[in-house]
Amino acid sequence: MKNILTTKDLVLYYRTSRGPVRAVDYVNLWVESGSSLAVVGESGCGKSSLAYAILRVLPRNVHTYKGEVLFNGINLMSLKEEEMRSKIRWREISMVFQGAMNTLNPVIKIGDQMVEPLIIHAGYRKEEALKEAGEAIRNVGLAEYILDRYPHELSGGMKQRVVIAMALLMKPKLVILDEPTSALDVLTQANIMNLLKDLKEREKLSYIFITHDLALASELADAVAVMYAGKVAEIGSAEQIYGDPKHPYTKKLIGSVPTLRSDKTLEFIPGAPPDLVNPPKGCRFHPRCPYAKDVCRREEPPLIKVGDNDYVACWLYGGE
Amino acid sequence: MRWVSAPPTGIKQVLKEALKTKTGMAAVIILGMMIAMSLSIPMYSPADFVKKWNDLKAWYENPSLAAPVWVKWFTGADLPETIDLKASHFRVDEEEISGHHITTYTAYFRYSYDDYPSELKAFIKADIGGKPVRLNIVFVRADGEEITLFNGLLSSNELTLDLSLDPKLQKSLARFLYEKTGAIPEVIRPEIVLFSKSLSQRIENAASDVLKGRYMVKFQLISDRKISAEPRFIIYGKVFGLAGTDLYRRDLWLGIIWGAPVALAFGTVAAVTTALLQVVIGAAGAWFGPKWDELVQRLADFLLIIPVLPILILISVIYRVTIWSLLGWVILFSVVGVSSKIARSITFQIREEQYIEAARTYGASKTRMLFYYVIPRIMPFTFALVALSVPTYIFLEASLSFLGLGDPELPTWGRILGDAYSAGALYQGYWWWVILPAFMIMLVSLGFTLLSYAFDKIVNPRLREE
Amino acid sequence: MGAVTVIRAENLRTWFPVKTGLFKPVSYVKAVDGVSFSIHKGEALAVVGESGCGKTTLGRTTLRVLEPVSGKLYFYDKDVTHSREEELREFRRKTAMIFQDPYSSLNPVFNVYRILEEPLIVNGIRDKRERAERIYKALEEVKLSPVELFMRKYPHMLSGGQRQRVAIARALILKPEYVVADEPVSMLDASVRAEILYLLNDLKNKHKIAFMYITHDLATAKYFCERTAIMYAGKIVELGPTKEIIRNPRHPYTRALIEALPDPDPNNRFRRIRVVPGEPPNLVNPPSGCRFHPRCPYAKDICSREEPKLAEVKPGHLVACHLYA
Repeated sequence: MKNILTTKDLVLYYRTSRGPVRAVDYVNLWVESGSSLAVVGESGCGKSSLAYAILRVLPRNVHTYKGEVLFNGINLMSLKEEEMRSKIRWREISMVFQGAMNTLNPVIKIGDQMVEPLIIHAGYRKEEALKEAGEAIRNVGLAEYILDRYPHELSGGMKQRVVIAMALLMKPKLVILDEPTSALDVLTQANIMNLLKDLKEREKLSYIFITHDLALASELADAVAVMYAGKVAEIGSAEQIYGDPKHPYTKKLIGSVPTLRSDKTLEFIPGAPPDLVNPPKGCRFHPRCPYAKDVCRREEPPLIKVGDNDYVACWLYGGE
Repeated sequence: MRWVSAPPTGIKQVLKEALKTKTGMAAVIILGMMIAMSLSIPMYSPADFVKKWNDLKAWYENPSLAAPVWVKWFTGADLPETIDLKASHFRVDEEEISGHHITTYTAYFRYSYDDYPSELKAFIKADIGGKPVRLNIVFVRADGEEITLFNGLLSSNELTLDLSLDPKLQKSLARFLYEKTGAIPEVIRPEIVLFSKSLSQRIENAASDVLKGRYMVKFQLISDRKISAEPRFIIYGKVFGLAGTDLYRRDLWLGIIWGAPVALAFGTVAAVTTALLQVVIGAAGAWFGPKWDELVQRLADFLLIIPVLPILILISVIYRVTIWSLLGWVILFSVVGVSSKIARSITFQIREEQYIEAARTYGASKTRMLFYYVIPRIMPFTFALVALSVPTYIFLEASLSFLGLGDPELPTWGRILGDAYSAGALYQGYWWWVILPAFMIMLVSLGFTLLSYAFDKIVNPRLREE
Repeated sequence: MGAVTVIRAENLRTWFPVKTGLFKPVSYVKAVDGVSFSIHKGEALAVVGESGCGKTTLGRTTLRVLEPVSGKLYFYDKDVTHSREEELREFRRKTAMIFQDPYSSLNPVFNVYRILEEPLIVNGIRDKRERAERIYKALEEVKLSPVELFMRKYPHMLSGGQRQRVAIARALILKPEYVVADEPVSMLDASVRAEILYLLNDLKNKHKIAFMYITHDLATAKYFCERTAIMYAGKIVELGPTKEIIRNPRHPYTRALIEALPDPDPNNRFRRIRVVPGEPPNLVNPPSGCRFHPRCPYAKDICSREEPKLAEVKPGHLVACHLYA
């Protein structure tokens, strides 16, 4: 199967008063067409920054931004900003930002907010745009009268559906979702996950699903990339990652998720994730790793193949 | 992991960070100079300076309305400084001639300035023992011409001769000039006549060249016995000190230095005290509930309407005001203001925070929470405003002093300006009397304004850029 | 785990007035609407529900941070339902709370030493040395060592997990007998959560503290709480031993909740979750009868008319549902 998106040595560093923050530090990953990749990691591992790096939605204090982002063969890094804006963003790749439902404009009706980008950027006429919006709204399981409502009249779950509808307006091929259910109740969350599963099937979408919740990720992930301190620690199929994790960090991370349906001792990792301004030398995880060897302290491990489509960045698996 | 950089919580932290910025550095330099000035007072000025400032007779040694010494560098001419021939400068000669005891005091001095002196005065202190003594004062010019300045009786133990205004000297100079040039000018100014190069041009009293050279002054006492005396001859210059002198001969530099701590102290005490009071009142209102909040708001409205300056003027006209009572009134009228609004809104936010709720669960009282948890959080936000308001209070005090309504004894910058205004200083060209004190006020204001900018950048979260 | 009851609630109601009209409030948000339970010494009771179900309000009511509108609250034998603040001094000394947000539950102006000192000062521990001793011990118990190093730090210098430990130390420094922990780990990273949960469990067993553990994540409750109460729309709908509730959930809401909470299982992506439709109800005007009936797949006629009472279906396992009446 072809990969709809591949990143090669993607780098995004931010400039801060304390020095450059190495949020995305030579990240290599891929998303197969029609499948979803879950990018999991704890707070501060750089997973949100990864999304911005892919879509080139950059803040002002960028220190370094380089690498390759191949989307259906085209290197997005070689496109000009104008081309990114008119051809890629929202058309081919769209994004549901974290907490997006709170950024809906409170004084504009839902319908008007949805048609705005269509009219302004795509040159639609108002009637056409409203028709598209209506279809998108129905697609996410809401009735058309929602278009006439204001955001505060909707519940959290409904607002999130609206945001997803907006992301799908121009029928993109790849949708990046950054913690799409973080502020929602458990039952509402389940509803949204069901919706995302339906949409994936119906519209043949590919997803990049960013979350810190490993259990939630399993609801949608065909493949999982585990991030730690701005780098990919392990990437592979969902079966591999959940069933037979290789990286010590992944093992502990999976072990730290409480399970309802099975009894196990919860694992935890002593210490805290490192500072992205001054990460540890060598393997980023070595200060907290129970298996750290000498080489781990000196050199950063590359991604080593351990299965058909599974790779680990760990010296335990060779590559020396 | 969230790496939250905390806002600085104490004045020391804020100052440290302020020093890292350019504005902060500039502010600290300016204010540091002011403080250095204030601290240098013991070195410069006498112990009971305040009394001396108000004693107009104590400054007789200085020229009146003299410009600062450094004016010389701008005009190019070597303007005269005061030459003070004290008793120790005089050589004593004693003679006995036919029963008369003649004591002669002689002093020499070099005059090489490009301009005439402003005034001449002769002093003598002698123990005459009740009997009048004959006194002669002779002036010998550098070209050898001798002029008798005084010939008469010394009837008391002290005599001061204001030679520049002495009518008898005028008459004798008139005679002298008539003998030498055959004409008598309308106005005779002794300090010009005695020091001018060519006598013929003296008639016009124009600014002809000054006669440079060695001059001599002689005091002669004739009595029947030995008299010990202390003569003194002062040739007043036209420039003096770092800031010149005023009409009353006071050294303005001393006045300006003295003004620094007064201004700084008044300004900072007023600013800090009012800020503290405002914060406490604003926070307390928001903290204790809607009724108290209402009360504070109404008080704020009330104080907003009151015209502070006119009332202060009224008070100081009716009552005798000292710098401290003035401070008290100013603080009283500023007890609710901008800082209390800031305190109020921050308090509303803090009220909802979880550590406040936690404090309730371990039984902390509301009052304790207000003073220990809430107000320390608010203080850093007021630093910028406090710094900015110091100049306002300095101006206020200066305005009142200028109108003559401030503390009647302390030499403050406003008072110096007030004296200058009353004497018409600017019209008459005594610019140093006005510009230098005004410059100091502006410099202090600049210092605090820059400090406030630096603080604002540090404390205001929106201006803090990562 | 003795049978001494530390906290007992009988038909507790906490209502918040909704300000409409000039004079009396016209309506109330019935956040806690008739809740009864008890917690014993050394036992942790989980109160599980979604946001808006009233669990946070319940926790605060049991600490008398809020005053109930009706019902009774007992601390040991003492009726503290409507006690005034002065009478609650001893109660305050023996109870404590741990909050969800480690970033706002610690005073940012104080260092750790000061933060831990406050409860001691407020409760009259005058001797400086005694205070220092207790602070040292507290920090050691939550494993923040070296103690001298952490004492001087300010909250913004600590990680989320470290802050939560300080919050726990602060809660425990007065040797409380009842602690309410409101989502203490939900804002922490996954790899840190277990450590905190184990710490709480150790402290609970060591000091025989009664805990109320409020959470929306039933899975964490399993690691810390002997019993669980499921809350919906201001009422307890199911109450019983945690393991039993997870294995044999009786109430339809509990079932929906468990169904909707995923375990990390890659097969999840091939299944749809069975969800109940709708949203949690408005607490100002909750539905008549059983509050869950508009969403319940098993709703009968009686469900819309009569409120079901909490009744035992097995020893120690209670459900409020007409299916089991």
